[in-house]
Parts: sequence; structure tokens; C-alpha cells
Amino acid sequence: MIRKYPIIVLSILLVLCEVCIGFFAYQNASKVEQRSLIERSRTIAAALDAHEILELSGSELDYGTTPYLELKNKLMKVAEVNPDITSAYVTGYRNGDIFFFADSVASSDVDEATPGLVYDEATDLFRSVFLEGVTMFEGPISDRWGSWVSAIVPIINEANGSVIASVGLDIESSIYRRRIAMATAVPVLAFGVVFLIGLVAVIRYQKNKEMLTLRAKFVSIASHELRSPVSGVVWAAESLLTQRGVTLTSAARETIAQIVRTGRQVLRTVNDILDLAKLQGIQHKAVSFDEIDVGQLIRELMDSLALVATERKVSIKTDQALSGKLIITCDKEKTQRVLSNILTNAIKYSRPNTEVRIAYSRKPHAHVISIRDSGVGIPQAEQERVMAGGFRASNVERSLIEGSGFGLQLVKELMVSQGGSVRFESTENIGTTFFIELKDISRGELY
Amino acid sequence: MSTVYTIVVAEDDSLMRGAVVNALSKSKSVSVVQFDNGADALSFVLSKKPELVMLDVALPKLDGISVLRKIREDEWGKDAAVILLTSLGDSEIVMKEVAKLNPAYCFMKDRVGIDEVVAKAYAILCVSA
Repeated sequence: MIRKYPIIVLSILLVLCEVCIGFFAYQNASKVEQRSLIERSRTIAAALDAHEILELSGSELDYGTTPYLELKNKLMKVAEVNPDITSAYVTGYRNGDIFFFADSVASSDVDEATPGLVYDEATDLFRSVFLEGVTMFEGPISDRWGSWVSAIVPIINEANGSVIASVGLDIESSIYRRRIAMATAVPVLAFGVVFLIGLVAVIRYQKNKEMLTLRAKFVSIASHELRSPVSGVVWAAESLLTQRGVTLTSAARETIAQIVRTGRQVLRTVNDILDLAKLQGIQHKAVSFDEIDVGQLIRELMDSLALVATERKVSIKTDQALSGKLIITCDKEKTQRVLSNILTNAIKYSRPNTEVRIAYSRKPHAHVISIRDSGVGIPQAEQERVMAGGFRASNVERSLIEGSGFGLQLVKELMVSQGGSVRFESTENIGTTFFIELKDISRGELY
Repeated sequence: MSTVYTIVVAEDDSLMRGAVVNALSKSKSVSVVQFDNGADALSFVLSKKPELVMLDVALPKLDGISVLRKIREDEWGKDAAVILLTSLGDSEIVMKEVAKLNPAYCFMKDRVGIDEVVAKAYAILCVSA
């Protein structure tokens, strides 16, 4: 399902998650905003002197009296230091009506609620502040002053527990909505970004996997569909040269010889590419440590290379330690590929009737496997560059033995990736010894 | 009239098969019988018991390794001379399997010339071109 319709499935998933996150973030943000406004109203209510309010009549007669001016002053201060608040007001209740004692609007402003002004748009919820002494939050609601959210808390007469008045704070609903929208958008956007980053990572991983599959396919095509027919062409051309009863002109003979040479060159190139593809195929795999019988691993390798070795008249010998069981904790596939590559090279570059020796030695914290050949060697001046990749020693290029020069660099990477190393000592025309070093992590000492 | 040895060549690629048959036919002492699949080659080999069998590994109907395995299961075939031809030169699994079946020789087609193959065949049969 996910493989077939990845975009649709992921989009639906994203939308569902975003809706859920949005819903909860919205709920939470509303709660936080409401609580914050109520808290501010409470603070103001606590700052007001209940006795002063009791001195007010709640009518136009209050104008100019000291308690009124003080109350008005305090409310105007509140509005001044809280720029998001549109209006702070103190109201009272009598005969079922809610009326104003004072508000924070300047006396010169037409919007000022004058003392005694009845607020006839009050909701039942507002009334319950006076009737039940509860704190309330409401909105967004619209009245003659605009669209608001309000938090209203009662001021209680400590003497008898009755509600003397209430303190209210109004915030424009647009500001309130914007705050909640912001608080909701942040987690929604954050999730979206994380989701997309994750999606990109997954897509890149898939692409990489596809690449590896493609490479495996290529290896198979190259080995079956390319090597066989080219081998056929080479052999057919060769058989023409030796066929009985056929006389060829020297020009025809030379042309056929050229076909054979070119065909062989193509085969060499294909083999090079295959070797590289094999190394690269496991280059990107994660390292996994196991207890491996390296002795057996090497014996299996020798079996599979026996025919090539015989063909080149090279014998492979191992020392005592490798003829039995030799357990080393390492990455099996990578180690096998490294050994295979170096051993194949040793056979390739050996002179006929020589031997390749594989030996094992122990260092305080490492296992060392050495592979020594009596081959062409690597010239002193070029030894440093051999591991760099894309390089073949000059004396090898002359000898037309297959190899791309990338192999050793990959071998090095495969060793380093499992905390090991590879190095060599070489003397031109005498031979090369490769040392493969694997860290001893059998006692759990990683690196 | 000297003895004529029978060589069976099983190879599906006609160009390759032609090349091998042509090259082997240099000697008057050999008669080459060719097949393009493993199954036909096997039934011929088991009934006619040729002196030498040359098998491609990647054969249709029955692959070369299976043909060799069947030959080795036969009383006569235990010691029959069989040369394997493969272009899967680097496949370690194939090579290990081949080694178990004890062929007279195994050639990697992309690594050797046809002369070497013919020389080996003649050496096994003790004939000359």
C-alpha cells in the first residue's frame, strides 16, 4: 500500500496528524490565554481597595470624588502598562442591572463608560459573577464597543462575603485570535517541517537502496549478457586462425588477431567494473560485528580462487594459525571482500611459479593477517599514492593486467569502517605484502 | 584406421559452440557431437559414454553443474573426463560447487584462449592436431 501510493498515503497521514496537533494546540492555547487574562484581572482586583469602592454610589454623583478619581487613575494606569488590554473596568450590580463604577477610558473619550451607566448587553454569565461570586471568561462576543474577550472577577466584601463589585479586562478578539493562531501554528508548522525532513530522509534512503539494487542488476547483466558473447566472439575469431583447410591472407590474419585483442580488452574492462561494483555494493552497508572463523573464511576464499591460481601457476600457502579455527570479531562480509580483493590482486600480480603466503600474527590489541606475493611490486615513488584511489602503479599499466586502481581505496574504506586498517610493504620486482589489521574487540573493547 | 574419440560439446551460445567445435575438429582422431542444452547432452552422454565432455555452466534446460552432478552419480560417469566452461569466473559459489564435482578442468571463457582449451582436450585424450 505505502509502496504503491506513497504520496497519497503520506499526505493523508500528514493531514490527519496536523489536524490532531492543531486541535490540541488550539485547545491548549485557548486555555492558556483565558487563564492568563483571568490571572491579570485577579491581580487588579487584589490591588483595588474594597472600602473605597464601597464609598462610591455608582452614579454620576461620583464624578470628582476622591475614591472615584483614585479608582479611575488606577484603571487608566492598568491600561497604560498593558497595551494589549483595550479596556479595564469596575462594575457593580443593582436591581438586576450591571452598571459601571469606572473604566480605563479617558474622560474625554466618547467611549468612556460613565459612572452609573447601565451595561444592558450583559450576559447571564456576567451576572453570575455577582450572583454566585464566580470568576468568568467569555468571548469572543460583540457589543456596542466592538468584539471582545473578557475576563471578569468578583471583588468580595471580606466582612460578609458579598460581591461588592467586579473587575473586568477586555482584549480585542482579533488580538486574542491572533495569539491563539500563533500558538497553534508553531507546533503544526514544526511537525510539518519535521515530517518533511523525515520524508526527504526516507526518500533519499529509498533512492540509495534503488541505486544499490540497480548496481546489483548491472553486475548480473555485465557478467551474463556481456562477458559470454564477447568471450564467444574472441573464441570464434581465435578458431578461425587455427581452422583446418582455411588459408588466410596475412591481412585477414592480422584483422582477426586485432578482433581477439580488442575482445580481450573488453573482457578485462568488464572484469574491472565487476570487481569495483562488488566492493561498492557493500561499501554503504552498516557495520555488523560477529565472531568469525577467519581461518575458514580464508580457506573458502582459497577454494574459490584455486582455479585462477592454477591458471596463473601460483600456489597459495597459509601458516599454521590459519589452518585451524581462528575466531576474530569483525564484519564478515566486509572482511571477506577485503581478503578476497587483496588475495585476488596477489594472484593477479604474481609471477608464474611463485607462491602467495597468508600468515596470521597477534599484536597486543589487534589481529594481523598478512598476504605476501612475489609479484611485480609497487615502485617506491608511487607507494603513497596507491591507496588514494584511481591509481595504478606505472609498472602494472605496462603489464596489461586487469585492475582499475579503485579497489585498494575501497578496501581501505571497508577496513576503516570496522575500526581496522590496511597497509603494505612493497619492493619493485620482489613483491608486495599487505597487512590487514583488525582491532581485537573480543572482550567488548570497541575501538 | 586409428581410434576416433567422441567429444560432446554442450554450449548454448551458437557462436561459442561453433568456435569450440571448429577448433576441436582440427584433429582427425576426434568426432565432435554438439548440443545447445544440458538435458539433451546428459542423455546422450549417459547412453554413448563419450571420451570427453565439455560443458558450459549456464545451459538452458539443465545447467552444466547439474549435468556434471548427474554424470558423477553414474557408475561409468564417476571417472569420466569433463571440462567445464564458465563465464561466471568470479562467482565464488559456483566455483566452490564446481570444485566438489571434480572436473578434469574448468576454464573461464573470458580469461583463456581457445587454443588452451583445445590443447587441454587433446592432452586428456592423448591425441595431436
